[in-house]
Amino acid sequence: MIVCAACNHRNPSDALVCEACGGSLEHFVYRACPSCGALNPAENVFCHRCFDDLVPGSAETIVEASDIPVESFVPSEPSVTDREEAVREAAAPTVGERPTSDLTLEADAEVATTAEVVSEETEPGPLAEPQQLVGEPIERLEAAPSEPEAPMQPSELIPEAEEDVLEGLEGLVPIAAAATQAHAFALPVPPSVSETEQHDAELFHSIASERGPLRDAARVVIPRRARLLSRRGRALLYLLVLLAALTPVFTGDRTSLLLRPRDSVTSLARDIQSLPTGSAVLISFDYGPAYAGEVDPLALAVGRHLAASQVRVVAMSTDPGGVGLAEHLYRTIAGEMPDYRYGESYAILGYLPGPEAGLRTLCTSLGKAFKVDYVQRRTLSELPVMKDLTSVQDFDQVIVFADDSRSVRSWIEQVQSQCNFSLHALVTAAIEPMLLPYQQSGQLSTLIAAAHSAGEYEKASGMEEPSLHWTDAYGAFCLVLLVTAIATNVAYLRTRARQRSHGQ
Amino acid sequence: MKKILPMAAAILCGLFVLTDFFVPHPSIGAVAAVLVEGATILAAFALFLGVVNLLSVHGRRVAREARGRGLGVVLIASLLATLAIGVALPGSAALNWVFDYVYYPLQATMAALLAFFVVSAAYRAFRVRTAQAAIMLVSSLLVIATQLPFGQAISPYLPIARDWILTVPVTAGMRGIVLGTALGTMATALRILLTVDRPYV
Repeated sequence: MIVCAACNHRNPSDALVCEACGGSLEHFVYRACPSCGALNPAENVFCHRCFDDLVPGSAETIVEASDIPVESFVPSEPSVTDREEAVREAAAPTVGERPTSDLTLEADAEVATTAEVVSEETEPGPLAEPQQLVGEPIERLEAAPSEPEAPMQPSELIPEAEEDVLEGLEGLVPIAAAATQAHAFALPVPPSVSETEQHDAELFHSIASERGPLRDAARVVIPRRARLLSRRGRALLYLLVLLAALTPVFTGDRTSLLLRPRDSVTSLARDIQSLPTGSAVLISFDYGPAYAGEVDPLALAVGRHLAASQVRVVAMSTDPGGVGLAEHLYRTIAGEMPDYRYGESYAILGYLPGPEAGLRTLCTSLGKAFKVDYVQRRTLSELPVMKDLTSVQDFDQVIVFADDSRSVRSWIEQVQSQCNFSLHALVTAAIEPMLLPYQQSGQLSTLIAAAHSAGEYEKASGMEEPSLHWTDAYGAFCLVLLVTAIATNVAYLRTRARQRSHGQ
Repeated sequence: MKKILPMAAAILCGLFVLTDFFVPHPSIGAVAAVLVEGATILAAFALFLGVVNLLSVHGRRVAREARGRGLGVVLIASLLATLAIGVALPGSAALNWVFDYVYYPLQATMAALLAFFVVSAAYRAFRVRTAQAAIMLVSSLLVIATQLPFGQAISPYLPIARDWILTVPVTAGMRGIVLGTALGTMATALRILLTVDRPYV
């Protein structure tokens, strides 16, 4: 498996180009270990962490683990004296003929200095680890490049029995054969590194040492699961969504008998019904066209109810797209009711910039927030509908249609906390849970998720029920979602049970 | 002086607006109203700066004949055309046409695609792989079931279950988030008022 460095996509081992992003995999690619997930350079055959084979089948050609006899190994704990002796022996070659007992500290310092000099000369970059050189015999480091022509025989490379740290380990891990190969001593030869290779190495090191998504993702080896359905399954799902959208064509108004308005919807309808003729309601359309499909039916139902109750309506928006939606909706209502005229029955003030600061202005003066109205470009005092309405406190009710909880919170924190009035929030189903604390604290008089409330509102207000068609489509989509989730999980559990029964 | 003046202005403005919340005195209210109105004007000016920046970025892309310059041309042309109509004929039928037949359908279409994504997610990712996933799945199915317009007709217990989920666990979590946000806002406000943070400098 090759992980693309650009997008983290896991590609097949023989891929030359990333399946996901199309990027070349010839450079900067890493093989994810199928066992532990560690990232290895592309040329690695074995995993540097768990020594598993990265290229399936390659391990058998190099060493057969079954051919190596397994011997019992009883580790012996070295004493403190043994450890001190081992340290002295390791430091001895670096100080020449002088006695090691007198120069242990001096030797350590000299070795460290020499290692630093070596690391500076070779400029190994971030991949090199100078601390690994500390304690290595300097003669070994210096002599190795001068004798590359005479490779040592494997028998010569095997250390004496009493010095062999691997004694007793043969057969436990399949590295004995590889460890005795002559090429192991080619490592001290400083390689000639080109600038490109140096750059590649630094890049690899920076990516490999970073605790980013690539490294984390590489630790998780996700096995490919069997498909529950073919690709046609997804097409079938999309077809079901389309059929859900067309449900009203088949159902008509028959589902209206099943609809029962919730208490919150009934309460709002009752509040609006109780408003006397000539009362004023401020409506803020704080949502954009993206959520118009969800909120528009309820906004239309409430708007129709207010118009039928002969309540003055002043509309505004803190969303640039909301003004157009308000204009669109009230054009529809005015088209249905000939006596419902702009300027006399309703007005659209426009877009109010500056979310918090703009709303705060409403407490002091509407005229400062909106110099002219949106449609006729007249000052607010010239509009008959704005009679006796100078600030937000002069309105009997304030209704906010919103698709963003921050908008409703701004209304509560910046306006309602300063000017006491009844605030109703009719919002998308997605943000309803975020506003529940404000409803429970009493700061919101009403909180309604607009998803399927339009039909309920029309039923509660005793008006015509044109939104029920939309409600049917919404209900059908919920059913599709339910059936999909349940059916997929039933199929998934059955597949898993079958795999377990087959011992997979 | 370069630092002291902005700091003094920020502290004074912040204190005036803050005091106006707690001390309903007309003189403080008048000053605070001027400051808030100024903030609204600044926010409107930020929109203008956004338009200038957008034109600059896409203008450079078009001038350099970079990749995607065709889209840049479409964006600049659409922006200037809508801006011209909006400034010259505000609230006119032409502007309504742009909204009704371009802006509204485009945004609504993008949002409508969400339905397909949601169903696709329910099909591909909504699996009971772990106990936590099973709890989430059952809760989600319950809430979706109660979203059915005629859910109450199916079972009178569905709305009760939904109300319990929303008012007890969900509201508890949301309260925690709201309280955390409030504390964070207070801390940020104090840091700015005490000039520990000076984002305006």
